[in-house]
Amino acid sequence: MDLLAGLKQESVTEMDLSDYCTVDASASVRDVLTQMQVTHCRNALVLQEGKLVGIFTDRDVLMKVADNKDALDKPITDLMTPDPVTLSKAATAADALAVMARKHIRNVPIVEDDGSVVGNFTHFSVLDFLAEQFPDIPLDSYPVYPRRFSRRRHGG
Amino acid sequence: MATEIKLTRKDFMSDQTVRWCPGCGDYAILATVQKTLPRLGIPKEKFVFVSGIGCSSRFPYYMDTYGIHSIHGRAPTLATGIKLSNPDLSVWVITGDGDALSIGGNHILHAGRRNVDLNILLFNNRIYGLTKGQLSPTSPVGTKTKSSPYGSIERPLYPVEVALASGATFVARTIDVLQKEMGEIMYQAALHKGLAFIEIMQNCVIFNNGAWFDYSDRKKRADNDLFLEAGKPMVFGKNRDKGLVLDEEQGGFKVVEIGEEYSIEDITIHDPTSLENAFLLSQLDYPMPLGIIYQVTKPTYCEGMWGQIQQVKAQKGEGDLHDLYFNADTWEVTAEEEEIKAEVRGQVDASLDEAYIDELLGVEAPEADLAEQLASMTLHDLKPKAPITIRPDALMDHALHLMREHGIGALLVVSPDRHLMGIITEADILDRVAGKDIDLHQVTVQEFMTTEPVALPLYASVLEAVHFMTQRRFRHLPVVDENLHPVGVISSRDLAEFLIKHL
Repeated sequence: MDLLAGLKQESVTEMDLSDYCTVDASASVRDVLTQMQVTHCRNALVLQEGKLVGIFTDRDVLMKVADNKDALDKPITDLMTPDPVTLSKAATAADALAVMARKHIRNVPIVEDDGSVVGNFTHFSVLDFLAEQFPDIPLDSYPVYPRRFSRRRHGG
Repeated sequence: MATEIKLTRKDFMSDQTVRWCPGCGDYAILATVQKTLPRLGIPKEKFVFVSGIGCSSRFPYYMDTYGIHSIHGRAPTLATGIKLSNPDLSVWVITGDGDALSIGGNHILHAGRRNVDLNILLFNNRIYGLTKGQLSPTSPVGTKTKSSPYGSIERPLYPVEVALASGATFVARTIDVLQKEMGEIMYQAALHKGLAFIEIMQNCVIFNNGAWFDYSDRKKRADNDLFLEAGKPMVFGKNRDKGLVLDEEQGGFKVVEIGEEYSIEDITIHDPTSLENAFLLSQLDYPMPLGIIYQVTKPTYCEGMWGQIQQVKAQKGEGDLHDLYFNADTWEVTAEEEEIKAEVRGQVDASLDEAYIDELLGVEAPEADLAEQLASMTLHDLKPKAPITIRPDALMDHALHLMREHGIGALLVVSPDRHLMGIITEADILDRVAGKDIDLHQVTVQEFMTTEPVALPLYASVLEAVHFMTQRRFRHLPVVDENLHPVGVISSRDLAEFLIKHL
């Protein structure tokens, strides 16, 4: 199987694009942090009137927020990356990968023509796709390594 | 800000080490269930998994839901009680061919005829696996096992046929290698009101390897599997040139070639509401019908029982359990002490027959293909980046500084004798540090790190790394040498880019 050919044909919309949450541009950094912490979301897409205007990720938290308490009450629009690189629904997985490698980014939001969000393409989208290419040897057929035993007892 | 909590596969994974044999079909079924449940939009606390005894019945340990590893063969019965007392729950029964059709044969029948709103997943590997390879009620005639050394002389049961006969209102069949199709059937079963029964053809890699190869092998399955779709003609084959036609003389389906004699219009349409067709399909093995074989709507047991309770209460008022117990012939039995002397004869040898398993495992795999090539690539080939490390007693301020300086998302926490003690990532910073009232000059790395992280050895396969990352949603995996000293870190980016380059 030519995997590269597969990725060139596979529309991004066929892939898992669920690795994101959305926040409103009117929110404060504190609001966004709380939402990310509660939902274990790593990548927040910032929307204004339903249109994508920026992206704010755990990397931004590391770089700009973690040791800066003054940042918390600022609007998210001050700290987000504005106008992030996006792709349309017509893009293929190979397009998305090329953009990620060239720009050295981890998230490529997929948007409609009107700017509304379809999903977020990440490296997990590709890894999940690859995992599905090998249904005959289920990827889950390997016991956990190192073979650590759980501290809790279980029977059977 | 209103936040909708979205469940993912990870929410359904428990902290238990999954202990099935490497290569067991059960892993794929577990993964598919964990991927399917989040689609249902049901809160996690509403799921219950009930199992009996057997390899498949270890399932509830691996699901982070409520669950019972119950009595051999009795899972449908416990599940009936659970569903009846709390009809709001989504109740799943996990059973195998032995558990459901040998010892549990009677329990499964009654769950079916009552049409209890349960989802029963029967893992059919046509062998007793947990007891190391004896005949099961679904083993074909002629099967040689330890308990049938000259070949089975028993006609096997067909789980789908049993389910149809018992009165189940949703009957489907799927196979472990087709995870997408399996997930869709589980999803439909969960939506169905009434007893949903799914036979999952599952490969026992140790004691009955290849029992379903005709239907699971990538080369053979296109010609042997019939994917049923309601309202569509029953066409199959690599070139979709064969179909099923009702043979009125023989009273069953016959396979015909689509071409000169028969056209596509002659092929029988799949009607899942027809019990007659469902029975005819249940007896086929060429082609093997996969998908929803039968589905109708009928009143469920819980509706009936709760309706009756309401009605009787309205007529007679609340009952009294004490009165019920003591309203008629009751008497007391005086105890006569009788001493029973138990005697244990001999010792039970509980150790595994290692040599025998090794011998079986040593059988060569039928073919080497791309997936195996992928499995043979190791993390060593991937040349992981050298790790940036930090001591557990270092200040968090320093950790932050290191991550920013190197532009990386993860530091390995290493003891003075170079043992991997933990990992601290930007996700930890987001979840545990940012926005909290913490002075980074006062706290140490060990208070915030993830201890005992999952690490892979250099000789682990790339496939295993993919497996960990997609399942657990880790973006960084530490790589260790044989002394458990960290030698590298691989990120989801490294892995995705490596695979694209090398496949």
